[in-house]
Amino acid sequence: MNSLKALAELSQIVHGMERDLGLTNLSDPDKRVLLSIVRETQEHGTAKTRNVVNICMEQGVSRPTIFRSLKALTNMGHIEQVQHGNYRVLAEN
Amino acid sequence: MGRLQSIKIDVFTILCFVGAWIFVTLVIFPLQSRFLMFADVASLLFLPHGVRILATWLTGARAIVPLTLAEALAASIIWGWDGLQSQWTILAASVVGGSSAFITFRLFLLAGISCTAKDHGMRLWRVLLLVALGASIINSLGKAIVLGEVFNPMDTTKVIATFIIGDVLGAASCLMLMLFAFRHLQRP
Repeated sequence: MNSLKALAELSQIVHGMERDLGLTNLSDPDKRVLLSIVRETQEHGTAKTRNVVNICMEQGVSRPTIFRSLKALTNMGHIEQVQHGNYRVLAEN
Repeated sequence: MGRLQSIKIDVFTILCFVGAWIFVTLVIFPLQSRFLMFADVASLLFLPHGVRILATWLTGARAIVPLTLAEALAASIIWGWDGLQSQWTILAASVVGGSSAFITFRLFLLAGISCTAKDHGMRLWRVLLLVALGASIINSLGKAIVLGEVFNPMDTTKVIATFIIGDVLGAASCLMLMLFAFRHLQRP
C-alpha cells in the first residue's frame, strides 16, 4: 500500500469513527446540502449539482456556501463525486 | 514503496510499539494494580495491540519482523532477559505477538472478509476491531501456551480474559488516539 493510499484509508477509518460515534460537526448548511443529496440520490440514483444548488438556494443557502459544503462533505467521506456534476451519498448515510 | 521508506515505517512501528508498552507499564499497570491480582502480567488497556493491528493492516506480512523485534525489545526492557523467562521463551512469545494480527487478517481473507476501505467504506474501523478481537484470541492462547509456567493455573482463564479485554480496549483506544491526532492535524 503506498503512502497516499494508506493515508486516505486511515482518514476513512477516522471519518467512519467520527460519524459512528457522533463526533462530526456538520454545520447547518452542510446538513441541508447532505439532506438534498440524500433525497436526490433516492429519487434519481445520483444527485446533480445543479439540482442540489437549486434546492439549497431555495432554503436560503448561498451558492459559495453550497460548494464549500460539497467539498467539506466529500472530505469527510459522506458523499463522493461519481462523475462531473454528480454526487452520491456513501453507504450508511 | 521504496526501501528507505519501508525501513522508516519499520522503525516507526517499533518505536510506537515499545513506547505504547512502556506507557502501559508505567501508567496503566499501576492504576489497575489496585484491582487485579495478576496486574503485572495482563493489562486492561494494552495499547500496543492497536499498533499491531494498524501496522499489519498497512504493511501486511512485512509488519511481522518489526512487531516481533519490538515485542522482544519491550519485554527485555521491562522484564530483562533473565527476569521473567528465558530468552527463547521471550522470543517465542514475541513471534506469537508479532504474527497474531497477520494470521487473523489471513483467516478473515480465507473467510471472504477483506479488510479494505474499498469493501467496507466507513465501517472499516469496526472490521478492524473484529480483527483485533481475533488477533487477541490467537495471541492470548499462544502466549498462554508459551508463558504457561509463568501463570498460576488457577489464574490462567482470568489472565486470558484480561488479555483479550485489554487487547480489544487497547486497539479501540489506539484508533481513538489516531482520530484525535487527525483532528489535531486538520485544525486550521
